[in-house]
Amino acid sequence: MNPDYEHILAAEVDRQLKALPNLRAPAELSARVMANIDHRQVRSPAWVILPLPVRLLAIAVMLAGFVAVCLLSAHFREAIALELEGALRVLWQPFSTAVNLMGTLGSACLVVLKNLSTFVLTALLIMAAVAYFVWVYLGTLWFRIAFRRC
Amino acid sequence: MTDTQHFEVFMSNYQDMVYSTALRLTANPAEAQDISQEVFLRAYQHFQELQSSSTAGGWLRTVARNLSLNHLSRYRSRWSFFSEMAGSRNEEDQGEVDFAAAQDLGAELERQDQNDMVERALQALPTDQRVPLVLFHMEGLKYEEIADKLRVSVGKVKTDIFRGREALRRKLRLQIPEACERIS
Repeated sequence: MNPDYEHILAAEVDRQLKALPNLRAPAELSARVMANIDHRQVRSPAWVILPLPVRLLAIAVMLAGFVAVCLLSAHFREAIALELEGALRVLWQPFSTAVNLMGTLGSACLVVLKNLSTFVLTALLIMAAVAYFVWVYLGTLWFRIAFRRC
Repeated sequence: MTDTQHFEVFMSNYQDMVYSTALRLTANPAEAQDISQEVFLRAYQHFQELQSSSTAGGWLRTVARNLSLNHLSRYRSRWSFFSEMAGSRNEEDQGEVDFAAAQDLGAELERQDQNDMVERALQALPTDQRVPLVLFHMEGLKYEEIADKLRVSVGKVKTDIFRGREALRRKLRLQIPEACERIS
């Protein structure tokens, strides 16, 4: 290839491309951006849009509150321990009910399984295994094709 | 004026430049618009600094360029999966389209502005030629920088740029004879 030709070609293409003016952005671009900004402002927590001095003041108030709670809890340790015990007992009740319910359901399932024949149990296990592998491998295959990277 | 109104003015000053950068790299108006939107949303997060900065234009251009390249690299494999199958056929077809356009060259020249033709020729180039060509001639990047950004060898960048120039010359010779007389 003639180096002069390459040089002239490069210069000409450079001239042509550099002469291009900016393209006009679509009219809706500005509206889209501003709508997005408004949406983010509405969704963003107040903390983000607060000025720095207000944020510092808020931190100071929170720290003071924390220290006050620590001091008070040291002062009324026994009363707080009693209250906490009562609260934990109340909280534990729904959890223990759920555990009992799950235990009952598990026992019922075991009874059903014991009454099923070996053939049915084997068929169910094979079906579950096949379904699992089809689901996992088809999903993986789709993911690899759809999100293939260089 | 509120911050939002200031930003709207700031955006109107730069939106054409940002959109052009994105469109010339992606050659897809919808993607260029999405990228431009993302550029300005990022700009809004740094608006306090950008507002008083003399290099705001450069910052926006760099972000637009990087986001466009990220976008292209992210979707390149999916795009090539379909386009490479029809790639060779498309290149052959492009010649036929150009010859058809050349038949009514006079009318075309009257109707179309020269810049418009260059722009269309540029956007009709394959991605692997258009992107390094735009980065070199319009974004002012060096061969090594382009190779680094596109994660290819410098040799490939030079070859792609040369092929892009050749393809552009062929297209523009059909449409802008006076420009090609200077070349050949």
